[in-house]
Amino acid sequence: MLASDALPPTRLTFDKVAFSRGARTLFSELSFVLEPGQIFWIMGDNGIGKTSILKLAMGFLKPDSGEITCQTNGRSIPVEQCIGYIGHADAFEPLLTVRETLAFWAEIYDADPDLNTLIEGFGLSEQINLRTSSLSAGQKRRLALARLSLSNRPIWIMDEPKAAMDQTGQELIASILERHLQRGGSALVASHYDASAIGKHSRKLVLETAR
Amino acid sequence: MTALFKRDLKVLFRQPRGWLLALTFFVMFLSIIAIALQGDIRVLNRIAAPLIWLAAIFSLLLTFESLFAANIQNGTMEQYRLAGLSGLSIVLSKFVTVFVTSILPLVLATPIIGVLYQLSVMHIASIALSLLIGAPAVLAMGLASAALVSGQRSAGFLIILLTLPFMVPVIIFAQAGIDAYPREGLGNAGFLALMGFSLLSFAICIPASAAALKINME
Repeated sequence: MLASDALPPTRLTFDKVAFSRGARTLFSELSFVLEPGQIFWIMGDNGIGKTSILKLAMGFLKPDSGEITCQTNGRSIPVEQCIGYIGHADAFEPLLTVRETLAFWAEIYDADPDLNTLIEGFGLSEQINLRTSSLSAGQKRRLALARLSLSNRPIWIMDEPKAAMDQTGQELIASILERHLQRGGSALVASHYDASAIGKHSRKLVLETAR
Repeated sequence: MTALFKRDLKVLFRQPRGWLLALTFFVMFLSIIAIALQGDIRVLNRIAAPLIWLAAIFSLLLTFESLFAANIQNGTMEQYRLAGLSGLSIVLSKFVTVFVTSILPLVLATPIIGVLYQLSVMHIASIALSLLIGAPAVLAMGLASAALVSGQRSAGFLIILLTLPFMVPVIIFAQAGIDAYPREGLGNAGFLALMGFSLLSFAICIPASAAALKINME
């Protein structure tokens, strides 16, 4: 269901990053390096700034100071070439079916997967011709994971990936994450759940931001 | 961009409410005016062109509000950006889609209105041509306004407020072109000015829309 070739070794670096929302400083001097094959868990309470860190990594927010870079073999590359994202929002067109949705994203990502196999791998075979508006929250999450796997990007950014997922869904996340790490990919994951529940065999780092 | 255009077109055809509303408004507005003027052909003939243009502008304004809002709210724009799709290709796809689904139906409906208003074939042709040449300017400006105010409260009102003042030259050039068409044909000064205005609007508003979308996401 996923490509098995190695991903380009890509490193995400936060170097002394400061960010505030209005008058409130969410963090300052935040530094870390996300290496290939590594998962960086960002944990903390709601509103503490987990999603802000993810959005900074993707360039959707600008830091007050500091630098955020994606590098492959020591060369800086734009986020569009290194990051795949699964966020709070589904980002699906409700009028398109599961198959049409993945076919569209496959074309956008210039991927040529066997769609039936891909859809089956993510447990959506029965919903293949259903419009995404008819899917449950957990099924939409699976579809978002399928799109993420199509992106073939070395760094995955995941915001509460476990949300709305049942036990099988959580096992699915763990298995595709593990596969991604084996290919040399990495992941920056925001979660207020116990990190050990997902990807327990992978290398983990925990960041706790302070108010 | 082909994938994006195919997707946008598919979605618009599956949700025809937007463009059907525009077309219905166009036909009903002009029919009601004809009834209100008690079918006075002399008056209708004189005001047909500006009336059709006003109806077309108002119809198109109805379609702009929803163009980007849903994609911004549901996170699609973020996915587009991370997938490396440029703002320009997103806006261009919307431009072509709205042109096909909204402007072309209005142009095609113009002869029906022409028959209702008992216009000559030449008059109908000149009005339809003016729409074909000038409506892209309305569309380009509408896209820029929609991209600028997407996600804001009262976005629809703001789009009207931002777009309408720029419609004055469009209507003036269109009327001049329609008046001169029987004598000078398509190459008359009015139509050329309208064409220039459309090209200028396209050249300015499409990149501006892409920039506005990017700013809106940050």
